[in-house]
Amino acid sequence: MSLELINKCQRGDQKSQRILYEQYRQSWFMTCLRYGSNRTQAEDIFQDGLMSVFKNLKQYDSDKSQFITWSTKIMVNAALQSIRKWKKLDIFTNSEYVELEEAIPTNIYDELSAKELTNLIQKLPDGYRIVFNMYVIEGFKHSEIANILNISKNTSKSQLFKAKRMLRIKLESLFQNEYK
Amino acid sequence: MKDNLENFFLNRLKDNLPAEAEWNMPSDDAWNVVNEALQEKKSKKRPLFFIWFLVGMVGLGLLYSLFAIQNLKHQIAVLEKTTFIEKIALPNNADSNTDIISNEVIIIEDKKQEIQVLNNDGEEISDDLILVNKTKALNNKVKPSIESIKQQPLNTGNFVSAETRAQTNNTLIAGSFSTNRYNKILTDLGKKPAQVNIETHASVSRSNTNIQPILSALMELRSNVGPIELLCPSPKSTITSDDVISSNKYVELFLAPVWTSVPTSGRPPSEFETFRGSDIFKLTYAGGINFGREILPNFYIKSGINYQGIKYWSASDVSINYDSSLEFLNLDGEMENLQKVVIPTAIGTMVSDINMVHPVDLLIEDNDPLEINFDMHQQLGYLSIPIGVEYNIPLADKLALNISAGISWNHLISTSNIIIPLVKHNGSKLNAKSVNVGSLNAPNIFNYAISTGVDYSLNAKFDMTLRGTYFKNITPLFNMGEMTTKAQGISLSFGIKNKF
Repeated sequence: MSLELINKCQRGDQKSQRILYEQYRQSWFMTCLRYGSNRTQAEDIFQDGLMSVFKNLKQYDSDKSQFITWSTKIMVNAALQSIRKWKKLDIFTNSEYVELEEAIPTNIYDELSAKELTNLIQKLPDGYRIVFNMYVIEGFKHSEIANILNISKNTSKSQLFKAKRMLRIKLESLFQNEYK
Repeated sequence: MKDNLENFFLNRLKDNLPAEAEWNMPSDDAWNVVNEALQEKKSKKRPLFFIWFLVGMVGLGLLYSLFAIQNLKHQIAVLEKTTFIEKIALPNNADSNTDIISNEVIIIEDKKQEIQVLNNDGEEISDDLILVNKTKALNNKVKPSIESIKQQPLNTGNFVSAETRAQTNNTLIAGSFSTNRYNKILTDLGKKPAQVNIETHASVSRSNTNIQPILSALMELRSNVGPIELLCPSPKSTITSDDVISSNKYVELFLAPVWTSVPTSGRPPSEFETFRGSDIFKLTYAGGINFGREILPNFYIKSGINYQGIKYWSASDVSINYDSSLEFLNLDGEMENLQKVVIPTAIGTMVSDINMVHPVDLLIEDNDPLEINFDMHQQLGYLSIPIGVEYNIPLADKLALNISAGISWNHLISTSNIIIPLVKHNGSKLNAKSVNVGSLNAPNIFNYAISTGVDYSLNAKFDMTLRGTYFKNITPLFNMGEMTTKAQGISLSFGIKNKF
């Protein structure tokens, strides 16, 4: 993506804004799909995130980060805001982290599509889903997640562990139903 | 380190995936909403461009005026017609020996800076003008004197003297005739004072402008005016017309710094109890173009198109309850909240989102009261259509006192709000800023204005103007219950006036 396109967008050029949107909308929306629990929520997050991206575009500094990294962070932030708005109550059950060694899954799930995997993530409880996405896909460390979500590091680890355990169960159940 | 499951999800979801409309592609609804909001934001900036455009136009106008002054001498003036008006016969005494030229036609052409004056026989009589200038110098006066100017009831327009015209030689016209007559007298130094018969007069118009006033003049010389007296330092004769080239219309461009405030009066309603207007004057600007037309001697009616800025400061205190459902953790690990707040202002209530940030260890419970003090700096830009009257009182040869008064209709074209919130929770200050400030719906207003100043004549066609003006709303910017807010201001304007 050219810096010139970003510069034009920063100057408010409508055509360039449209091109930028076309270029990134799938990637942004994929992020929203993973954080929302269904497509409708994802669309809402997407709209808020899109607005934030274009409103804050002037603050983007190409020397500090890649545009996709910067804009995805904004999308994640929009997702967190939206989920907080929808769920007044604390979405994280403050549980103790229990370190468990898990059996490493085999590659029997290779046949599953990205759509099916995203659907599985969407079905996770909010807390599991957020931490799983932030840690696994976005690459945040547990300490960063703890800071951002105002939870303990152990809670973050615990939520991830539970998310993965639930995903495994769902994957196995899916596999059994589909490929039995 | 990521385990297999994590890598499995990461690889599958981070890869470039084919776009599927029903799954991983958003509908265009979100884009339409965002695009509309972006365009709306862009269009809100247009009034600012309009203001700069107006300022630019005023600047260009001033430059043009200066340019026009420089080139005034190059104007070509053509005597279009000569009209016989009146014959006055004054009795000659026995010693007089005055040459009378009847129905004399003089054509003056200004070829660049050279003035050529011809009589109806085609003879150049420019020397006459020089003689008049000498007379002027001797008298140590800017204008040569004229005994009187008699207005002709049948003619409209302005009555000017012949030699005055000759004195302003770069603009001619009718005066050249009289100049000729003077010359006849002045060059007749060896003779006794003469009684003069004058029986012709010129009525002219200038073809190089759109000005079509028929200038008529009838100069009546005193029966005992003679060359000696005319050359005296203090001639008996006096000037009776101050308008060398009398113009009855003008266009004026001006630019002015303006100091404005919006105080309140009357008892405020409950929702405005904590609102505070202010007498503090804030600096902004105004500018525009005005047109004037003389309807009585020295008495003008004027109107125009102006930009009028109104800038003011006000403050208000608002109490709200903290809505914890709107809070979220930002990427800096601080608690952030965006709450809508209704703010009383000098022109009604406004809605603004207040973005509040506080450390997570500062516990704010849901519904906790927050005290917000708003410090507001607002600027309104109005398109202003004034109408008024103006009176010019000549003070000196080139200086006139100008007094004017009028009213104006004002339509809001731009707003700018700087709202600084100070948010406190149990005495602890939260970092807060105002975002997404709502629009203001100010009504059209009427102002009255009075002004006074001076006009300094640069030459026959251009004046430089300096005015001090006070204005105030007739209709309020806002009223609720017994409370009203009215803007007021003082300005000092600088302008250039082109008379025609």
